[in-house]
Amino acid sequence: MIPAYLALTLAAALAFTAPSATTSPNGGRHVGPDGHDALSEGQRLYDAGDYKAAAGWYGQAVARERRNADLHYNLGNALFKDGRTGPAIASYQRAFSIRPRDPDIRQNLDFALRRAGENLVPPGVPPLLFIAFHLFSERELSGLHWLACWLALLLAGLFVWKGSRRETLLPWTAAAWLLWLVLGGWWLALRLTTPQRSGVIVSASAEIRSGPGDNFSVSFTAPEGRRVQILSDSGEWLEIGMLKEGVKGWIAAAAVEPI
Amino acid sequence: MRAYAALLAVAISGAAAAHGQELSISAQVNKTQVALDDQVVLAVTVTGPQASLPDPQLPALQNFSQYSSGRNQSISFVNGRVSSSVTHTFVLVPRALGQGVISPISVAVGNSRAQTEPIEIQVVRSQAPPPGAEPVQPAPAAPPAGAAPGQAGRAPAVMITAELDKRKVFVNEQAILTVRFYSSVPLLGNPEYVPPKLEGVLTEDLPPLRNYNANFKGRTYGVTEIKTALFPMQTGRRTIGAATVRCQLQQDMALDPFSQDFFDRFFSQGLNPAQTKTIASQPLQLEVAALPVAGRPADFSGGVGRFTLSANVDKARSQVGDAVNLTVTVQGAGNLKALGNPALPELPSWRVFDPVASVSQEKKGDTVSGSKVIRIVLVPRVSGELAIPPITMSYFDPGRQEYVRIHTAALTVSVAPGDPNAAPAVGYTAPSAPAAKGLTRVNEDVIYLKVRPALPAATRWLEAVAGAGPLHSLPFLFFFWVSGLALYRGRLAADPQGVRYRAALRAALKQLQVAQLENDPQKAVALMNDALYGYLADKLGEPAAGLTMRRVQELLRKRQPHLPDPVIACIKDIWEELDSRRFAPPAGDAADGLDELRRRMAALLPDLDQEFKR
Repeated sequence: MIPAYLALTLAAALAFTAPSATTSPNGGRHVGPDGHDALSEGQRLYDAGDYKAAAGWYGQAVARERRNADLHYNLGNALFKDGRTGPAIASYQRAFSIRPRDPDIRQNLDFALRRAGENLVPPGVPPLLFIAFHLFSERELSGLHWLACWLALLLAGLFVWKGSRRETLLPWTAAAWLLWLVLGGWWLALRLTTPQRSGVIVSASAEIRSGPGDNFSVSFTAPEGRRVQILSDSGEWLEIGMLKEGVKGWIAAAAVEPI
Repeated sequence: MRAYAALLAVAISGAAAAHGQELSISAQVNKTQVALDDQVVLAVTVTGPQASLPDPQLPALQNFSQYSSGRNQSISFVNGRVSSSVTHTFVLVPRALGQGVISPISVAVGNSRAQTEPIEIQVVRSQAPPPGAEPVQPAPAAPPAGAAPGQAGRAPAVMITAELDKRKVFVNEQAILTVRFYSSVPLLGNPEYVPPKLEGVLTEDLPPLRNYNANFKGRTYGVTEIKTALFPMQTGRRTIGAATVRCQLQQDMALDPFSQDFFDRFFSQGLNPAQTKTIASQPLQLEVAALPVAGRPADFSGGVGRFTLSANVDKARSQVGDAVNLTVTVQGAGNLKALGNPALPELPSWRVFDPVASVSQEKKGDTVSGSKVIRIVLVPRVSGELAIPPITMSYFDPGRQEYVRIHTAALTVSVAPGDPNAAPAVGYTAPSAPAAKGLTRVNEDVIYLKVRPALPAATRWLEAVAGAGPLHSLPFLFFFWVSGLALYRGRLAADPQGVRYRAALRAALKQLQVAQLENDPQKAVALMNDALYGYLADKLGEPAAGLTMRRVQELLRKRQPHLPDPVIACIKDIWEELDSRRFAPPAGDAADGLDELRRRMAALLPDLDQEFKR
């Protein structure tokens, strides 16, 4: 009776929090303000080489459905073909953070990053290890971790309650706890290695100054498309850091697109 | 550009210092034999790896008078490296017959030094002009400025004039300033010419110097004419300052140095001291009008004059990723240095690099002209017939006093797919992974759109679980609850006597409640009896069956010595009352006094339980 009760509780919790099964509020269609289907129109403009207009349509679709990696990917494509490498990398990065195991997203993000002098896979890291580490997004790992948590605690409760069946339950319970531990550690590692506030430089040659204002001297410049970590902000200036180069400084907020 | 005869060209590298190896100087003259009344043009070119190059140091020239005739500089940026070349033009006027030598001309930057080889020039007699061909120019109309040690009433021995070819111009339109130096007597040494002061005006020398003879007030002068092109940059009335010449003259003498008499000429040489004289021209005014705002095109380049525009590409066929050089040439008369680059049309199929511009000027017919060449590297992004639309530019024609728009012809480049063995596009490093056998990698681009964007169901559910928030406390609560139950159950199993002891009161009171609801007095008495027996048995750890009041009293006095006697008496009283009702029911109504007995029990048992806890 107790497991049934717990399963029922879990199902109710998921039903309460789960989103609609459709891909968009419009039942799979992304209708723009003037009635056009945003995706069809964006694709048509993209195929016609009008990348700027296509980016506008995909931008509208993304604004309505921010957790759709494919829309971010399409927006990144349109921006990239329009020559806006920085915003394109920001869009690809958002798509990657939602669905990192998608090979198309990885490929295009890496392709755009190389234009900015970066690589998706950090130097010295085996590509397979990087892909395995980023098999799930942070939110997916969080969900997996909580599912493992529910399973482990359910089996542990049964193990404690059903004294006569402990021999049968022991390996399953141990496996569930091990899974919970592994997924929890993985999730924690991903959170620790992913900057909580990051951005992409979107101006052609951004000047990073020693303080938050034009009166401070320029310490260095960074190319468009370079990913940065946002450390703090002060008005219209952001303090950014670049882990690879080990430098930090202040940049006008308009020159950075937060991810 | 003047076509020098290039009779002598010398380029000598300077010191072998690391930087100095790129610093060089060369000198050219347009002729190595010159008549006494002719002139030689000397061009000295200094090249080096920096934008600012020093002026060459000309040695003292014994047999020539030298005049600067302007400089022309070009700067180029190639792959981030700067190189520049400055050509200084000098006009040399021979002063004596015979072999003249231009000593080595040197230039120095830091520790680097370079110099030319000496140049020899033969000065020969001038040929007699044909009859009636004497180059006598008309005298200046205005009285020249300056003074001369001449006789009263006669024209001065030296004088200087300045004049503009026009009094009113537009901004950046060319005006010509002509300065003439008149000399009717031999000069001692080279005259020193100081150009007029100019503010808000760019200048360009207009070589060569002109020398001719002119008559004024019956006196014959040797005239040296210097022309300068002026390009005013600011509107309003601009003042052209005085041009000055500082020269040394022989003081008046009784002997006529031009006399045909041998003795006069002999004694006139070197007998009289020199006199330094400075003469200046009158300042001039130049009205500079602003360019009209009405009708100014958006693509106005800032050019004033007359220009043509052309464009070409270095190849009509290319391939993706292979650079094509687009050359745009602006040609015409005007100040090309103030001319902006024409704006390129949108070229979405091309990767466009920053333009590199160079200006080449010519000075023919007292007009500054030339060309500005803009080179732009284009890298095709896609294959096909790629068009470069016409490039437009507008300038202001001061003659017509209107803006003129010019444009190039449209260009087309046939672009083939990229060569897999060729270098990747500029600024992009292609992945090192080779294409599979049998496949030819042509170019790399982003992967196409996701045609049916959707969020996978698994991702949606996992993200929903991640966002469950406080609901994640449920499994923890479940686990602790189950654990607590299991712990309690374990304790029950481990200590049954203790469990009986702790649960005795609750079980007894529950039985009393059941007894209260029982309608049958005998059954109610039986339940109350079970409650008392059961309570005492649980508390004393004895089996309820066979428990006697005597045994109860013994155990109570033994285990609870502090128990008051009235309590034991009360227990005994209830015990006996219950026994009496069980085994000898009272006559009449059996329920009489039963409620009172139950209340006494309900009051006794909690008090007794408190005593057991002491």
